[in-house]
Amino acid sequence: VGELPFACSFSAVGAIVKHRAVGRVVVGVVALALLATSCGTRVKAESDAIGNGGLGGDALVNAGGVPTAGQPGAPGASAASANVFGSLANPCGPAGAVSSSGAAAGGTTPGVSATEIHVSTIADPGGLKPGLNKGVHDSMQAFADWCNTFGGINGRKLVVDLKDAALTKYKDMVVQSCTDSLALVGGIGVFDQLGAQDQVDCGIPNIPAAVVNPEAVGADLTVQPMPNVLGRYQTGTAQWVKATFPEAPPKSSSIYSAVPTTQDQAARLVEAYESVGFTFVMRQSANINETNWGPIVVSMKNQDVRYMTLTSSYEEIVPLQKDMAAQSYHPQVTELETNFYNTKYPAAAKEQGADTTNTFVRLTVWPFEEAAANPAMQQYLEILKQYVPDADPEELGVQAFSAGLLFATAAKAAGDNLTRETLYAELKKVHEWNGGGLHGTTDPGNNVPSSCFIMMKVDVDKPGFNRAYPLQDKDPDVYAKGKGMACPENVSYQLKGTFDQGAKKKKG
Amino acid sequence: MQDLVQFTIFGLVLAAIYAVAASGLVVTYTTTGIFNFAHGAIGMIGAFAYWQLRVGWHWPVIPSAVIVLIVVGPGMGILIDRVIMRGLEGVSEVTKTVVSIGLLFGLIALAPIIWNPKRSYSVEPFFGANRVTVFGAGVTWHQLTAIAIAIAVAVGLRLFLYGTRAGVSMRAVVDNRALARLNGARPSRASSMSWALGCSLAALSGMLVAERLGLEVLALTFLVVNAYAAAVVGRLVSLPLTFLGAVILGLTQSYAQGYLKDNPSWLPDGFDLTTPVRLALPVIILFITLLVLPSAPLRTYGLQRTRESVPRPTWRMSFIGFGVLIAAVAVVSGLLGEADMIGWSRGLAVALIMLSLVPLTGYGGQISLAQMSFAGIGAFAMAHWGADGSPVGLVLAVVVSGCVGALVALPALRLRGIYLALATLAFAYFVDKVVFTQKAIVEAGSMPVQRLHIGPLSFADSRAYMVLLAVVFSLVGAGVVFVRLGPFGRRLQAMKDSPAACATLGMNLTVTKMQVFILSASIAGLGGALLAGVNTQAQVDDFNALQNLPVLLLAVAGGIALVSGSLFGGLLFASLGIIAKKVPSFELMGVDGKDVVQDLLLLAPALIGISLGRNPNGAVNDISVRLKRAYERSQLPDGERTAAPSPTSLAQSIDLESLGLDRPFTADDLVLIDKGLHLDEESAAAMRAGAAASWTGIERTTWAYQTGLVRSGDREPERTEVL
Repeated sequence: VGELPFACSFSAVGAIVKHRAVGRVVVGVVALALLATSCGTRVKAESDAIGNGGLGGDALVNAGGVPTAGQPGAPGASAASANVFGSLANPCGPAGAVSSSGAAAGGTTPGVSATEIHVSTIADPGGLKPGLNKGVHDSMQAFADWCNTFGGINGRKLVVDLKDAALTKYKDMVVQSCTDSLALVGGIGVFDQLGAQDQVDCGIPNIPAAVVNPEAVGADLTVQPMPNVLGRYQTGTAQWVKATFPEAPPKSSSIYSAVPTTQDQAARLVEAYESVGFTFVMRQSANINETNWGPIVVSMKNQDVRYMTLTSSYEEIVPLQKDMAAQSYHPQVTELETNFYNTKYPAAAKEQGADTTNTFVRLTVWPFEEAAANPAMQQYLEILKQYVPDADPEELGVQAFSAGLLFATAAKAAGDNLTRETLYAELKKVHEWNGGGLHGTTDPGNNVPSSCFIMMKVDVDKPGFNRAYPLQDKDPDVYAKGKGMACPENVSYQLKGTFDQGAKKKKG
Repeated sequence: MQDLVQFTIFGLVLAAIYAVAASGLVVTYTTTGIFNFAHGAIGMIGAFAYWQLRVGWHWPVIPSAVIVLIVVGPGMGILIDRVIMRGLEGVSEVTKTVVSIGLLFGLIALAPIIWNPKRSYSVEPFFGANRVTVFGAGVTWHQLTAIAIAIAVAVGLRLFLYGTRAGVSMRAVVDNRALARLNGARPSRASSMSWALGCSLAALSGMLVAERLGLEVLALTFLVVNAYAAAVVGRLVSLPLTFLGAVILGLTQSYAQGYLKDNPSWLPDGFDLTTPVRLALPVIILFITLLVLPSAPLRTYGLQRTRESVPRPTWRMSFIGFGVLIAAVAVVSGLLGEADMIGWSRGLAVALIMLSLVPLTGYGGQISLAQMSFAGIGAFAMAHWGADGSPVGLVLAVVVSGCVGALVALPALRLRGIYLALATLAFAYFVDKVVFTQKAIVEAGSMPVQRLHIGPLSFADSRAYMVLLAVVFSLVGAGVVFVRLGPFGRRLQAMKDSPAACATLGMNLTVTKMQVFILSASIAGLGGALLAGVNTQAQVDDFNALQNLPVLLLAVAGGIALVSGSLFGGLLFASLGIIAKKVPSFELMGVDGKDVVQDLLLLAPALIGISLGRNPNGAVNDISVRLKRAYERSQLPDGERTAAPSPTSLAQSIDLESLGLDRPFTADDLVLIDKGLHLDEESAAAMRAGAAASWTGIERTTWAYQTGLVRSGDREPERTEVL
C-alpha cells in the first residue's frame, strides 16, 4: 500500500493584542499573535486503521486502562457525573483498579505525591489583551474538578495550577512548572517559543491545547491531542471550495495582517491551495486596525476576485466586509480559519452592516451550536457550566479539555509508578484519539493530525454560525463516514521549505 | 486608469478628515504657540460625547452633532485654556510639550472611566448606508459630507480670521502680542477663543472618523498623528498649505494601499517593506517635510527667558547621592519579592534611559521623543550579539545606538523646539513600524537576552542584577555630572540659552548638537540593553513609539536637568504599575474601590504632566528647594520664623513688561526688584543711595532678567506667517 498521506486539522487562534494595560502608561497596538496549526505527517498504512477517522469511534483503551465503575458523582448532575466522557471511558477513578506496588512515586517526581498530582496550565489571560485564551484555564479547572469527583487519577487528587504567562512571561512559567508540576497540560502560550527549550531541558512533558511557534511545535516531549505539524497543510477545505464554487479558484486572493505569524500562515495556505489548482491573483498584506480597506476592495473588484481568505482576526474582517458593502462587491466565497469562530464576529458584522455573503469558517472541533447531536460536546458544556459557571465556551477550551483527558488517560495507564518518563511513554502509546468525540481522530503518539473539518457559514441574522458542510441530508455519505465531520483522504500536502526548528534535547 | 480614479476618490475622503483635524492643530498652534499633542485625544472625547448623545440618550443626529460642536468641544477648549495653558507663560518648549502630553494621557485614562471599556461602542454613519457610485467607486453620503465639511471648514476659517473682529484680533495676537494689547485687543480672550475653536475642530474630526474606526480610544487618539504631517506641510501656521498637506497625505496613503503590493525581489528573506512603509507613510512625509522646510532663523534677541533654573550639581553631593542609591538598593532588594524586584529593576533601567535626556534636553535644550527607540535599538543589538549576556553585546548596543543617534542628528541639526520633537517622534514611529516589524531583526515581537555576566561575575540573580543597575546608573550619572561641570556642559548650556549668541561667538553648534545626540543615544542604548536583561528578553512592546511620551513626561516631572530627576522619574514609572497590582479590593459606594484606585493611578502621570506648567523645574528640585527653605527657617530665631516670601512669587508680582508702557517706572518697583534679588534692606538702601547709584533701574531690571529671577510678563512674540 505504501504510504497513506494523512490528514490534518486546522486550528488557529488569533488575537489582536492591544494595550490598555492597567497601571502602565503604555499604549499602543502591539502584536497580533496568530497561531495556525496542524497538518499531518506520513503514516505507514499498516500502522493504523484510523483512516476513516471521525467522531464517536471506539473508546480508547490502552495498557491497564480498564474503566472502573460506580463512582460517586456530583449530586444532581446527570451527564456531568456519568462515568464516561462521550465515547471515552472515564480515565478518572480511585486507586485499586490498577494496583501494582504501594505509593511508589512519592518523592522523586515533581508534582507527584502519594495523594496528589500537580499539573500546570499556562495561558495568557493577564496579558495585554485581558482574558486572552482564558477558555483553556476554565476548561482545565472544570476538568480537574470533574475528575476529582470520581476520585482523581488512580485515587490521587488532580490539582491544576492555572499559570498566567501574561504573554511575555511564558519562560518563567515553564521554569516554575519544572519544579512544581508533573506536566504541562492543556495550555497555550502565544509566545511559547520563549519557554520551549526550558521545557525540553528540564524534561517536563507538555500536553498542550495547542502549540503556536515553531520552537514549541517541534519540541521534544510534546504530545498534542490535536497535532500541529508545520511542514504539512490539509487541503480538504480547498477541495471543498473548489467543488462547491468551481469558478472561484482561478481568481483567488489572500489578504493577511502584516505580522510575521500571519504572514507565514498565509504563505502556507497559498502554497497548499495552489497545489490543488488555486491561482492567487492577489496577495496583499494589511495593517492591523486598517482604516483604509477601500483600495484593497476595489482592487479585488477590478480583478474580479472570486475567492478570498483573510489571515488575521475577526476584528479585522468586519471593517473589510463593511467596505465591501460600500463598494457593492463581495467575492463568490470567503473562507476563514478557525479563529474566526466567535459569535462576536457575526454580531459585529450585523451591527455595522458588513457584507458576509458566502463567508465560511472552518472548524476542527464539534460546533457548540450542535452540542445536542454530540454527547461529548453536550457533556463538555455541562461540565463547564457546572464547575465554572461564568465561563464562555471557547474553541481552544475544547482542545484543552481533550488535552486533559489525554493526560489523565496516560497517567492512569502509568499506574502507581507515575513519573515524567512513564507518563511520556504512555502518551506515546496513544495512537487513536478523538477526545471522546470532541474532534476528529488523531494519532498523538505519532504526531499525526486528523483531516476532519466542518464548514460553518456565517449567519448575521442569527447572529451566529450554521453548518454548511457536511450536511446530513445533502452529503449523507460524508456525514456518516466522518460521524458528522468531513474527513477526506489524501489531502495532506507536504510544504516545501524546512520546518525543523523545534526545541530539542541537548545531546551528551 | 479606472483604479487610479477610484484610489484618488478614496484618498480625497481620507484627506478631508486629516484636513479638519490638522486645521484645528494649526489654529491652536498659531495663536498660542503650543503644539497640542492631545488634539487626537480631544477628538476621541468628542466622538464619545457624540456617541453618548446619539446612541446613549437616543437624540437625533443633528442636535447631537451641534451640541458636540458648540458646547462640548469649545467647553473643553476653554477649560483647557483656563486651567492648564494659562500657567504656561515663561516655560520652555519642552515643558509645553510635556504638558500637552500629560493632557493626552489624562484624556486617554479618562475615557474608559466614563465609558466602560468592556462593552463595545459604535455609531452609524451619517445618512446610514446611503451611497453613490463615482467612477465605479462607492462613496457613502457620510464620506461626501466629510469632504463638504472640510471645504466648509477651509472657507469658514478664512472668513472668520479675515472678516470678523474676533478673527482679526486672534491674528493680531499672533503677529505681535504686545502691540495688539496696546491697541485694545485682549490676548487672553483670543487664546481662549482659539482653544475653543481648535477643540471644536478636533471633536468634528473625531465624529467624522468614529463611524469608520469604531469608538476605540487609542485608534481615534492616534489617527491624528497622521494629521501632524499635514500640519507640518503648512509649517504649523498656514492653513492653505495644511489643506494641501492633507490632500498629499490622503492620496499617497491611498495609492500606496492600492499599488504598493509586492516586496521588491532583491529584498532578502525575513524583510518586508511594503506594509511597514505603508504604515509609516505619514511619518515619512512628516520627516521629509521637516527636512525641506526652511531652517528656522536663530533668534537674535537676548536670552530666552524662562523661569526654569536648577542649581549646578556638585561632586560632593553627587557622590553622596550615588553612594546612598547603591547602598539603598543593596539593602532594599533583600526585602523585596522576586516580582517587585523585577518591577523596581525596570524602574532603574528606565531611569537610565531617562538619564539620556539630561544632557540632551536638560542641558542642551533639544527635545527628543525618540529615546525609547534608541533604547530599543540597544536592546535588540544586545539580543543579536550578546544574547548570552556577554559584555561584548552591551558594548555593541552602545555603539550601534550611538551610530543611529548620529544618523538621526544629521537631519535634525537644523531643527529646534517643537519641530525637533516632531522629527524625533517621526523617527520613533519609523523605527517602530518599519525596523521592529522586520522578522530578520525581531522575531515574533521579542527575543531572549540573558542577564549580563562579565567573566566569572554573573548577574543572573535578580538581586545582583538590580544592584548592577544601580551601579551602572551611578557611573553613568557621574559621567553626566562630569559633562555638566566641564567645558562641554558649558557649551551645551550656552546652546540652550542662546544659539544666536553661540554662533556669534564662533561656537560650532553643529558639532555640539551632533556630539550630544550621540552621547544621549548611547546612554539610551545602554539603558535599553540592560532593560532587556531585567525581563531576560527584548520586547518590541517596551520600546514602541508611544513609550517615548511617558518617558519624556516623567523625566521632566522628576527634573529634566538633574541626574536625580531621572532617577525619580524612572522609579515613578515603575511604581505606578507596582502599586496598581497591590491595591486590595474594597467596597466603595457600591463599586470595587480597587478599580477606582487603579483608574486614579492611570490618571497620575497625566496630572503630574499637567502640573508641570506650575512647577517646571521638576519634583526633585522642588523638594530640595523646600527642604532648604525649611532648614533656613529653622535656623532663624523663634520670633522671625514666619513664612519667607519665595523669590518667584515676588518676582511674579512685578509686571516688568508693562513698565514704561502703561505706567512710569517708580521707586516702588525698584524696591520690589531688590527684594526679588534677595538684597537685604540695608544693602539695597545703600545701593540706591550710594555706591551703586550708577545702576539705573533699567540696568538692574536687565540684570534681574538675566539671572532668571524675574520672568517676563508675556511671551516673546514670534514672527509667524499670517494664517
